[in-house]
Amino acid sequence: MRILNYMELKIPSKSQNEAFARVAVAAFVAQLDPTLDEVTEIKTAVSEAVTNSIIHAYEDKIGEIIIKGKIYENFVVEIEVIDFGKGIEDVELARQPLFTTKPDEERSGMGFTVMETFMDKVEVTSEVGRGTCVRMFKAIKKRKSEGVEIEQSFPGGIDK
Amino acid sequence: MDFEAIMMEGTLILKIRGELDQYNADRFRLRFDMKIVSPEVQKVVIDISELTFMDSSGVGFLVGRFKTARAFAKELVLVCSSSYINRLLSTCGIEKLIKKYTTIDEALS
Repeated sequence: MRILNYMELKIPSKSQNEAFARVAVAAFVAQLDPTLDEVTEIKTAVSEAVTNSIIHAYEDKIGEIIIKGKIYENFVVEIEVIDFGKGIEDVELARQPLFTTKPDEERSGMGFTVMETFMDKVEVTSEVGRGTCVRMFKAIKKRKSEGVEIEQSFPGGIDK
Repeated sequence: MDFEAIMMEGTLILKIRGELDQYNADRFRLRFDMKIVSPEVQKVVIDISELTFMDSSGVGFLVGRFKTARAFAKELVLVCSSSYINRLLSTCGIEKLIKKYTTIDEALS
């Protein structure tokens, strides 16, 4: 699949950067003319992934978070959120609804569930002591100005 | 994010505007709890209809305030008319825990 456009963003894991990261991704995606709902869903998923890196990967330390965006020719958006923090021991367990390693800190344990609900495909790769990469795809199904439905496929096939 | 607090015959209405994420949850947690535990408050209504953004950290924040209210034997309910935030709340299953209304009038009655 041909990539039409891409971007890369590097930020320190400060929680005031959550808003910056999601707004930057929303601005990048805007060129596809998505609906407001689609933009909000992407912003929410980015916010979840970046918050996970800040709270869980780096905990009390400040580390680097890299956010990559790609736009494919079939109006599919790919967003990667990468950190070099402590990593996730059991990714399958971490993806379960309500699972949290920090129950005393008002963590809802719903971050991955929200990403999976609002995006079309979510892949998580992690290595303990090395870091985590969350790769998410979303098909922009209806362009706001045209109101037409578009047929799409994801790199590696649709897997929700 | 900012908020407005209104007292009406023992009911504290907390109207939140802006974006409720991890950053703002950390900034506002204590200020909300101090208002909720105040002795003249019997019931708490948190109005999130005017939020422009919320993620699961915001859901954690609302559940946290619900638990504060419950620890002091006070009722806490939500008002939300935003379809996006309602979808987020139902994804997180918050309706099983906290009562939700679409208008302040309904929440007060």
